[in-house]
Amino acid sequence: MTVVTNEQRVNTITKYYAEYRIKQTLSIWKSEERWAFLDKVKIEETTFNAYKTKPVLINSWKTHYIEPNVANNFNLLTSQRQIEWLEGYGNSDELFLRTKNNPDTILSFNKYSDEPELISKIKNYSNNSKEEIIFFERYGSKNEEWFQIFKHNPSKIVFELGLYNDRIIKVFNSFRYEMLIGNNQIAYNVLTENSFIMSWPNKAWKKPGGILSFDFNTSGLKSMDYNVKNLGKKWVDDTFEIWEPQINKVEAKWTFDTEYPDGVSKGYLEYTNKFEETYNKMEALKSTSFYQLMRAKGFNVIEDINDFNYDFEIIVVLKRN
Amino acid sequence: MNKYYIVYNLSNKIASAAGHNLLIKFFNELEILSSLKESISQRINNNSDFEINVSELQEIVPALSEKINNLLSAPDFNPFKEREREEYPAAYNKFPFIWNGVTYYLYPKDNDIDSEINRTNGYLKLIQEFINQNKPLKYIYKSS
Repeated sequence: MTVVTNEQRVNTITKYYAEYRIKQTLSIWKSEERWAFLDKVKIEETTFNAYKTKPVLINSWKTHYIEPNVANNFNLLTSQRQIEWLEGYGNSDELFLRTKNNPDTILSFNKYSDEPELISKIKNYSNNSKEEIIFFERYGSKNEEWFQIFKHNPSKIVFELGLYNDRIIKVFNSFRYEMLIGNNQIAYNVLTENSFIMSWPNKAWKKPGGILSFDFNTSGLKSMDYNVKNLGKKWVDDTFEIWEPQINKVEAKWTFDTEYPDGVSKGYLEYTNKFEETYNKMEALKSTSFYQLMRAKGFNVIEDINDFNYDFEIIVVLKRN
Repeated sequence: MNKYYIVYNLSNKIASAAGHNLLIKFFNELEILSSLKESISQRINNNSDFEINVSELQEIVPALSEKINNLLSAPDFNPFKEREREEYPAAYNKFPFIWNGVTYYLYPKDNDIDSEINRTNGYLKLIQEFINQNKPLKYIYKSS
């Protein structure tokens, strides 16, 4: 039998055990877990009412408390902030797994929650709680630069939500990059320790009719000494991994653009060099690395070549055999 | 068989290599006199070299301007791309397009309307060069 001598503990357990459903839950926990919970919540009325109204949150609290990756950051939250976290994100296995893999999410949530205008914009502009978690993952607690940008201009948050319903992190050579996956767009950003690099829009998108298009340019990353050889190809592969069954055609739009790694869009250079040698469009297109890459993915039928504006832009469309 | 027409600019570089069908469609959609439209279509369908003379080019100029005006007022067209230019200046500041004293920002790569504006304006600039030099625009037939 345990004799409770601490007055505060006596008051808290008396208050919580007066609620039958709460008592039922807490009484089967290990003693250490139970007291950790009661010591955290104390007798504060708002907290008590929240757990009384939604006893299920108590089990979520324990899930966070006993997970070593999550516990430290979760315990840093005030009891009221814990409730806000649990109400928003605590009942989803998927979100809990994301948090377990990236516990800084909790600290970022806490940081943004300290700014009422920011947290209310995040809640208002998101379509669901997963989008919010993705936001906290991307704009982590140590990403001070973006925090200040949002603080000075909270309306900018609108552009960060409502676009993507998943985020995957991958490793390439010695760096990591994120894939932000929306219904019709996948954005790729190389990650730094606390943030991400915005050197180019680097995205793949799906147009009506299942036409896949790309805008990858890694020259900015190359100038920052990232080894980007074959990164564009990797991003194409990643895109197909996500969308392949929905893709009917692939489009390349090559522009004469000195921003590209070798001074001009690789596809543009390959196509125009061959065309001016042979005056044969098919042969010119087949000589490009884009065609060879897409042929290997089953898109080897040339549907269209638009070089009306040859000196600036060449658009090609391939479809499946 | 792939039929198309090469157009060289005044520096003798390829300015266009549009396919037969694309050319037919382009002129059919222009707001020019139907007689000129039909005449140019016939020339394209002849599968041989042809020219558009200076007076015809002068008739085409206002139609191209009108087409650009229409594209600039399309509901899906994002004229100034403020946010995109702020986030990705290297990409979205690259193609400023000044039209009637207003600077628009095109990004043809991910936007078909921008691409169409750019294409139309490219052709407009090309034919204006030929008009200024009082030279017809020559289309060289190729097939492969």
